[in-house]
Amino acid sequence: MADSSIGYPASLDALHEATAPGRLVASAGGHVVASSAALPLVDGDLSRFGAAWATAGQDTEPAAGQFRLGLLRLHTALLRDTVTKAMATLDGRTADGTSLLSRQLIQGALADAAAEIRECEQMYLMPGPPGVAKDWLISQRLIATGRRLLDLFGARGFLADGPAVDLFLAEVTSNVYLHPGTENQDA
Amino acid sequence: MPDLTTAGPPLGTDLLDARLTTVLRHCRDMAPDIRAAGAAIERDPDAIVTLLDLPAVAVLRAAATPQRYQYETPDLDGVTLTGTSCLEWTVVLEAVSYGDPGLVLAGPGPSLSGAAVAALGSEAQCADYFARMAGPTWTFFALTEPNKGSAVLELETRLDRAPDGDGWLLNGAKRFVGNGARAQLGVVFCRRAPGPWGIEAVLADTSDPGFRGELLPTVGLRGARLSHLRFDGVRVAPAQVLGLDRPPSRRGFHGAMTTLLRCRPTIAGMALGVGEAACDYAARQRPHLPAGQRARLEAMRHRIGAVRRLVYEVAADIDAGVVNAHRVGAVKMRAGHVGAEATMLAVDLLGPGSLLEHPWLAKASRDVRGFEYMEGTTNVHRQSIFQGLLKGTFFPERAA
Repeated sequence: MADSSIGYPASLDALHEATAPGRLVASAGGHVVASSAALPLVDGDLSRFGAAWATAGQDTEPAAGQFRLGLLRLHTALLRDTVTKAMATLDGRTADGTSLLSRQLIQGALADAAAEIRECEQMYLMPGPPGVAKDWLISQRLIATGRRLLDLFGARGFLADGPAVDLFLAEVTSNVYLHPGTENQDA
Repeated sequence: MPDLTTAGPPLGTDLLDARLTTVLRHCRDMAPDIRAAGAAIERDPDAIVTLLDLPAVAVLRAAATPQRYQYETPDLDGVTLTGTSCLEWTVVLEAVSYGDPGLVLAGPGPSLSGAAVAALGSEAQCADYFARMAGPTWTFFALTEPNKGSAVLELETRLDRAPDGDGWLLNGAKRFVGNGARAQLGVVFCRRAPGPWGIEAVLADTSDPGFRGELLPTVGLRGARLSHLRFDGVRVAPAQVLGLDRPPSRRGFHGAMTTLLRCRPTIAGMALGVGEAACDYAARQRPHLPAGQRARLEAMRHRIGAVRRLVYEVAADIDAGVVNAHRVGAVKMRAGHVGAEATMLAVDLLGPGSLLEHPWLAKASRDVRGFEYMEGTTNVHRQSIFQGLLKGTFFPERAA
């Protein structure tokens, strides 16, 4: 199980290792995303955030259900951590002499996020055939929840030394590994 | 660089008169150069110093400078900018942001601080301030504080009487200040006395002793060069206090609110510019989208157009001296949302791995999120909209 508390790139590497020991897992579209340490020769837009991507090679393994499930687990774990961090941050901020955490609007937003996370966890834990479309649906909901949580941090939600980076990387891996690739089909 | 111009005016621009339609078209035509500049600024925000000859830089500066202080007046296909119109400024920033919002935020010129100086400053202060823009000069607008956000009434940065009786001393800190650590001067909001009328806006020079600034790393909009500022006994002379000859009720607090209200439509315009650009990018990359996907894209364009009309409406109201803060906040909030959703739609339509294979789109999807945090977050505007509902002033009387 990947550990979100060590940062998303490292957690992603752990997921690669747990799924395909000694190798990296590739998306159906032929991409690999991992930490900058795991893909040290590749540079690009992600390097500023501690991650890197490459085109899949012979030493990679195609993503299977277990890896996709691991990404969803990692994403929900990250969101749980973000809820905790948001509560601590908001408790330390005051307006009109009271903690922002005491505001009904804030409490409601945190409650909605927490409930959404629990629902998503149940969605991917439910028995039944795993589906690419279902994984994408869940990840889209997780992305939306993450963005709403980031908004609660105020401008800190835009800083690269806070939770925004890990949540952005979770969006990237979702786009790479969980997108169903049905954009050519009509609705 | 691919041709970025699109056929026909964007949806919602039917509210613009011929003059502003010309301004919009002129600025949109600069998009390819602006996008290339934006990519350079993303790699190195300080690259802006090599891009100052771009026509867009002069246009941005003029749009925020009252005409009588403009030292250069760019000709936009026969139109010159007044530099005093909120709607004009919004149109310019939206169109330039269609190319890249990073150039808007990285460039030199008066920007928000200029709006504060124009709103509060004496004739001498305005003349001195805008004369420095010929530099080129970068400026900042320091309102937000580490523990208070942008709650104007709660700010803690102090303006204390100097022990030697010669002016005041500025002490405190500001956070999330665009260009703060790279600018030459800017406006700092501070407290001289308790209560709303004890707030002052002062001009501060970053070379003054006691002024320190450090850059904050951001997820997107690197050109904004968000900064943390500290003031440790920065000396402030009476001539640096904006509008000292005005009554306190027409100085600092009034200036902060006036500036924020005037700038919210411009931020909304920037978000819409990025959103529109994302839609066009997806359409250009995927010219043969299936009907269902094309319908999603067109629906997004219509949403952008609808919010654009609202943005133009509140900007025109501000120019007419009719300010409804609840509606102004609402359009800024909605523009930020629709802009972000447009980038997400484009990412989706371009398929798996699009965030890796389309660096511009990945950048746009990160940049657009920054507008949430400028000039008030969603929750601040939600509360304001609710207050407008309570007062019965949010909805205009006439139905659309």
